[in-house]
Amino acid sequence: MTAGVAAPKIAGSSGTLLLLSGELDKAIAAFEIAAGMAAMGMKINMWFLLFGTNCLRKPKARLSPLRWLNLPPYVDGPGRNRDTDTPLQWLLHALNATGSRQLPLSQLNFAGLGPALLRRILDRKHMPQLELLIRSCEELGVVFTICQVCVDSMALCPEDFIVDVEIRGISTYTLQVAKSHYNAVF
Amino acid sequence: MSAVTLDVRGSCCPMPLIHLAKAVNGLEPGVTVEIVGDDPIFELGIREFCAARGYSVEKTRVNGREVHLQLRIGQAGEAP
Repeated sequence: MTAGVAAPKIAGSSGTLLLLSGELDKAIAAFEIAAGMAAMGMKINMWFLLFGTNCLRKPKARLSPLRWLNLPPYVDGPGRNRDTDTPLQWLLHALNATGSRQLPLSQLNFAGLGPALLRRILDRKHMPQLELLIRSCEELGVVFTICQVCVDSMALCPEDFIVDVEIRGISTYTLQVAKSHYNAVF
Repeated sequence: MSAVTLDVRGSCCPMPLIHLAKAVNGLEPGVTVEIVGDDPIFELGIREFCAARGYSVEKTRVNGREVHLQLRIGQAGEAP
C-alpha cells in the first residue's frame, strides 16, 4: 500500500466546521471529519447553529416531565435576552430532539427505525457511534461554539449541553473562517 | 524496544488515528511506538498521519489482515 497524497504541513493549520443540520447522518460526517482532522494535528473549531445544537444537548426522554414542565425560556444565561422571550420557545424546547440518540436520518428515516438500523450497521462494522466521536473530539481539544442568536431564539443555556461550549457571534465566526484552511457546513 | 504499544484491532477509521494521536501527544522525540490494526485503510491512514507530523515508519509487518507498524516520533511530534 502506498501513501495517497504528499503530506502538507499540518501543524499550525486549522479548520472550522459548522453543523446546521439536526440529522444523524450529517452529524456523524461532521464529527468524523472533525475528530480525524484534530487527530492529524489540526486545530478544529466546531460551530453549532439551530437544529445542529441538538446532538450536543443533554438527553431528555420525549415524555419526561423534565422536558415538558421546566421552562427554559425563563432561564437567564449568557447570550439570552429575556425581554423578547415568547412561550413558543417553550414549545420548541419541548418538541425538539434532545441528545444524539434522538436525531433522525435525512433519508430512509422510517419514523425512527432508520437511525436504529444505521447504528446497528455501524456497530457490526466496528465503526464509531456519534457519541464516541463527540467524546473523541472533546478529548482532542476541539472547541465547540454555539451561535448566540440560536442560544437566544431556542432558549438554550450552557447547562443544556453535554460538553463545554462557548457562545459567540458572527464576528468570531468570520475571524475563524478567514484564518482557517478548511471550512465546511453540514 | 518500543516505549508505547497500541492495539487498535477492531476499530475503524478514524478511531486508529484518534487513539494514536492521544497516545503520542506529549511523547519525546525519538521514542518508538508500535501499533497494530486490522482496518482496511489502517496502514495508509497511519502512514499519512506520520507524514503529516514528521514521524518515520521504521518497520512494517503484515500478518493476514493485521498490520504491525513501528513508528519513531520526530521533532515535529507535538500537536499544535
